[in-house]
Amino acid sequence: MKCKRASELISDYLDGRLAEPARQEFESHLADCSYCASEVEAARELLASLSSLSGRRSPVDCWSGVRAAISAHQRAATPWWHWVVRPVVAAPAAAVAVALAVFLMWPSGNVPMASDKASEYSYYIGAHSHLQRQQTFADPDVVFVGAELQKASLVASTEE
Amino acid sequence: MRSKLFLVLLCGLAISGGVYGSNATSIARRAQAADLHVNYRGTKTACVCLNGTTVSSVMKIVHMKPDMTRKEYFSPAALAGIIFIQCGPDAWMYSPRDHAWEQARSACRAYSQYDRDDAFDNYEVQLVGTGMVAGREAYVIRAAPKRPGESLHRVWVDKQCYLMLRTQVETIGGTVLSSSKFTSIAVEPRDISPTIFAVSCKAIPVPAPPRVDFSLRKPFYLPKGYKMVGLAEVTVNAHYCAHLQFSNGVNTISLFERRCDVQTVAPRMPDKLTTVMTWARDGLLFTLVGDISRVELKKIADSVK
Repeated sequence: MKCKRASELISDYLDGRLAEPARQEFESHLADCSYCASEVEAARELLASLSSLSGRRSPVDCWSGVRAAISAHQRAATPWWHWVVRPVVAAPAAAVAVALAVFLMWPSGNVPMASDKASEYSYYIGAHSHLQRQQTFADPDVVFVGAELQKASLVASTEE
Repeated sequence: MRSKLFLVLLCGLAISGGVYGSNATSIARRAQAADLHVNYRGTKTACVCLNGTTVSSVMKIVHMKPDMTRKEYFSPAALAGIIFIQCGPDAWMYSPRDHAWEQARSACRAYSQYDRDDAFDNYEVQLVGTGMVAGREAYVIRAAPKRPGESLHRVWVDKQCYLMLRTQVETIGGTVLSSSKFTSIAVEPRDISPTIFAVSCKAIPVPAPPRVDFSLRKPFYLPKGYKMVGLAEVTVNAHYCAHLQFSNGVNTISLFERRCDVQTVAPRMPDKLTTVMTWARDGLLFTLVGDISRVELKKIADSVK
């Protein structure tokens, strides 16, 4: 017998409701397993203490009060992240997170497109300024500075 | 007698104006070729108006005749550290951003009909006075456009060596659009070494561009005074591209054409680029660049067939 199965039979065993050969098998497991033996002893002590209590009946609505108190205690005692790791919450959350990560990391068509466009416009501005620098009355330095600033502004807007 | 005197005065004014005009043209022509005949070293400031803000750039220039120039840019931050070297037909630029020298992109020029006289046909060129720039005496030349929509140019030309010491581009209303000025200059210094025009490490060469493999479209409308002056074939982002060049002698318009996947896109101006218009038609992408009004850019774009 394994510990899991033994733990399920503790209550029946103490109540005397465990039939042969299950009872014999259960007792031989207790002989070999100190953990389950200690569990059985703890349960036996609990039963003994309960039986020593008086037979007074509880008020009619006592149980609902107890249940509310237990719920409140559980809510207070359970860490917030227990909600997150619950399968019903965790599975869809993980799916959404994976989908978001794939969306963000997937090579989007827009980003390189913007960069290519900027580099293409930069080229055109540079080639045009080369033509403009050769004209009469044009100061090549002014034309060069204007074109390079425009190109720098394009690069900056791509990197934003 | 009074009418004769008036006629003589009028003739005198006309002759002197003609002389001044021809002087101005002659000075402007010599200024265009001054670099071929003089060595110099100087510091220069160039100011441009970009998106409503005036930005100034400071650079150091060393020139050795006839065609070797080195320019180092100190400001603004976007240009600081750039070094430009021209050595004969080759040009190289050091980019501090990439920590690399790159050859200035070469274009396969199919043809060029650039004519400097176009400037004198389309602009009224006058000698309007003299002035001092960086401690040197200069002629002041004014070139006013004969047609509306173009800018007015003023240049200060060195009286001795004909270098352009100062320039200013204005609207007809007088708003300054750009300017430049030598703040210090030494003409014919004896200590310029040819070694400073050599690129100091291995530079990235640019391969020669291939031939354009589609039939070119031309604009049927150009602003008055402009004509086609050149055609170059280049590679841009792995696309074969044609660069059609138009000029009125002073200002220029460029039309770039290349194949694209998109059939039709209406003409529009890309963000932050007020001098650029782009559109697609018949599987070709067109990009028009020119420092002219948006209306004129659109008229040219609409006429490209």
